Amino acid sequence: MLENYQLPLKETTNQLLLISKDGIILDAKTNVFKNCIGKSIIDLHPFFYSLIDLLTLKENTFNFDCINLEIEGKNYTLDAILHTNIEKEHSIFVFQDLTKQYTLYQKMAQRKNVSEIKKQLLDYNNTILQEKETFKNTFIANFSHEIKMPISTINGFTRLLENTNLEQSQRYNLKVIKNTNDKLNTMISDIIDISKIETNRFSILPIRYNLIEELNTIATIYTAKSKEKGLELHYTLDPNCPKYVVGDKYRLVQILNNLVGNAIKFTQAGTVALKINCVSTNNNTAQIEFSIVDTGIGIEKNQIESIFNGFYQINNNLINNNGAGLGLSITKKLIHQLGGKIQVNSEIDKGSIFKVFLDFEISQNQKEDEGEEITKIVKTTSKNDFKILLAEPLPINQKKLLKIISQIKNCDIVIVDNGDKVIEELYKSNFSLVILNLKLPTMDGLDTARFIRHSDYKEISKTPIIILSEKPSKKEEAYCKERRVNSYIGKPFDKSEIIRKIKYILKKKQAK
Amino acid sequence: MKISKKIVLLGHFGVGKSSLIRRFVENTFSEDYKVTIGVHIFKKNVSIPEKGTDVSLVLWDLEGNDDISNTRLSYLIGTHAFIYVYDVSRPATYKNLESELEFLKEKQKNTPITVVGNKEDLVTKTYLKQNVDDFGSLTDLYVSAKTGHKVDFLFSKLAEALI
Ligand SMILES: Nc1nc2c(ncn2[C@@H]2O[C@H](COP(=O)(O)OP(=O)(O)OP(=O)(O)O)[C@@H](O)[C@H]2O)c(=O)[nH]1
Ligand SMILES: [Mg+2]
Repeated sequence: MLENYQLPLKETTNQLLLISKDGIILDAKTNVFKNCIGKSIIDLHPFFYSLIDLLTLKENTFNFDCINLEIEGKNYTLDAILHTNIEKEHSIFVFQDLTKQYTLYQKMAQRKNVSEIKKQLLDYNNTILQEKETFKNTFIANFSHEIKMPISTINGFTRLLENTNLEQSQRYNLKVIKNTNDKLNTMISDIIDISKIETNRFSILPIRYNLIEELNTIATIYTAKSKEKGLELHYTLDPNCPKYVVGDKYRLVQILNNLVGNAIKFTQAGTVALKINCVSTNNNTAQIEFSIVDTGIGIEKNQIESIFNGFYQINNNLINNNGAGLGLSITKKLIHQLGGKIQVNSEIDKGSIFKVFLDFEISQNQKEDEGEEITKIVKTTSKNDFKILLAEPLPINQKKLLKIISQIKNCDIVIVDNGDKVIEELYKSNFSLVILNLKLPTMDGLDTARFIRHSDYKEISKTPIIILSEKPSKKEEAYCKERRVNSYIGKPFDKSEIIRKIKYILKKKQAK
Repeated sequence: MKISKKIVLLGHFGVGKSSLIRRFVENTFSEDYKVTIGVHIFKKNVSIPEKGTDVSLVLWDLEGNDDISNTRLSYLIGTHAFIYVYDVSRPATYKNLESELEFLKEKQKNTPITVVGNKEDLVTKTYLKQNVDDFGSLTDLYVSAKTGHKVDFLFSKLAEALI
């Protein structure tokens, strides 16, 4: 009987079972299932359970590939086809024993799956680590903000005290408080910067500024500081350096402050040199090399790498230095953010050389800007009803906004260019309104707004705030609303909208 | 002939389908991973005292796949219930959970699917709660082939439901 079926499936490796409608094996040609004729298929292996229902179906074909069966202690892997209801009487189960072939396949699958799972677990662990890291950084950033508030309060009140009649010793004590507080402020700001860099929330604020003037100022400050310590500061500036550049002025100052400050800190006798060299220029950019050379204690070769790690301080015990140890770490990160690089050469007891290379965009306008010095108070007649504080980093925008705001009668306008100065001003006097550009250096507009709202002083926390955003978005606006910002205005700035919103706020204030 | 019910286990590779069956059938566990290719079929009788009857569970242990649509469809013929297994410690195995289940529902209409998160021994209860959004709402049971946690419960509940 089987011969009839064997013809179309004429492969020598084919094995066959002829099965009745109710699952009884009528005939067999197989070396896998021994002595099976007359038995029910379900006694061969549980696999056949699910075939029982198929046996009564009309003519049909089912493919079952790669079926693993353990028969009498031996493992087989089969490819099988079930033809059902052939000639309305029985079905035929045709199969091949492909155990060898599938064993090879299994080995391949084993390798592939094992390595894939390893990779998945690794990826996952990395994500968890990153999440933890982000959590840590966000936590640190938030926490630092909380600390920054009381520091700013102390700062505000020391400044108020400074302007009162004090005896000499009181003045000295106050200076100590102020210096200490300034140091605290720098540390906290460094921590905030680092966590911002690590959570990718760091932004660079390019403005056009006078590089030469900025560098000269730094040199002047540090010449004085060196003198205080009995050191000499050698300052040389390459005349080829461009005068007006476009870049993040605050970050450059921060980098040089850190490096020059460190050089002085770690040098007990001798000189500290700040050399500025223009390495190359073309129409648009200048590469400038800043060398900070000292005759200080130097750094051990094997420590050079680690001095840029956070919370690491060289020779902590030897010298009573008062940095948080974050200075170099933040410096390196800032230089990276600005697309530059830093190199260190040092010899113990001889001194260190730090070299920083930064590219500067040369401003197309090298002419002196008149009225650039508008930063600070503008109109002051104590009779005015209102006082508006405008925080805007770019002189050109300061001018534009000033023009708009001056249309409002009876009001003084104070202009500042960074977030810290906003806070300072708020401690000095009461303002009817604060207008903040979101992109402020030192403390951005949002953080400043948050600071104002969280202040312990009602006069400050109640100050109305208008936020100006250069890249407005719904998300940002909602965020500002959450921070209880009174008004959010996005670019392009519409004159009449600004005036209308200011007037609205001032009117409400007056009504009170 | 005793009543038999075909239960098919599927899910990504390495999630512990074979281990769950081994725990249920032999009450053993191995740390070694032997990749299943094709399908292995096991049988275990379960008595259901409440209903005063026995049932043979025919368990189909399928080759793991990171995309359910690559499953050989003939394996699914005549299935009475699916157990979809994922690994709670490997997000890759549950990130497409919803669409995988959708696929099954479409291919085998009206066949119940039990979704289990295996290897619950590897994670904390808090972790499971935190991931409610990822897989929690679709999961019927957290189990562990290693400790045996809820494994018997899984199969006997299923058997009972199928009778
Ligand atoms: N810790 C722990 N490990 C488990 C558990 N279940 C399985 N494993 C391990 O996970 C690996 C994979 O288990 P298997 O049961 O082979 O997985 P599978 O789903 O059958 O895999 P494929 O056959 O490739 O689809 C093995 O190393 C098991 O020891 C569990 O509940 N807890
Ligand atoms: Mg398996």
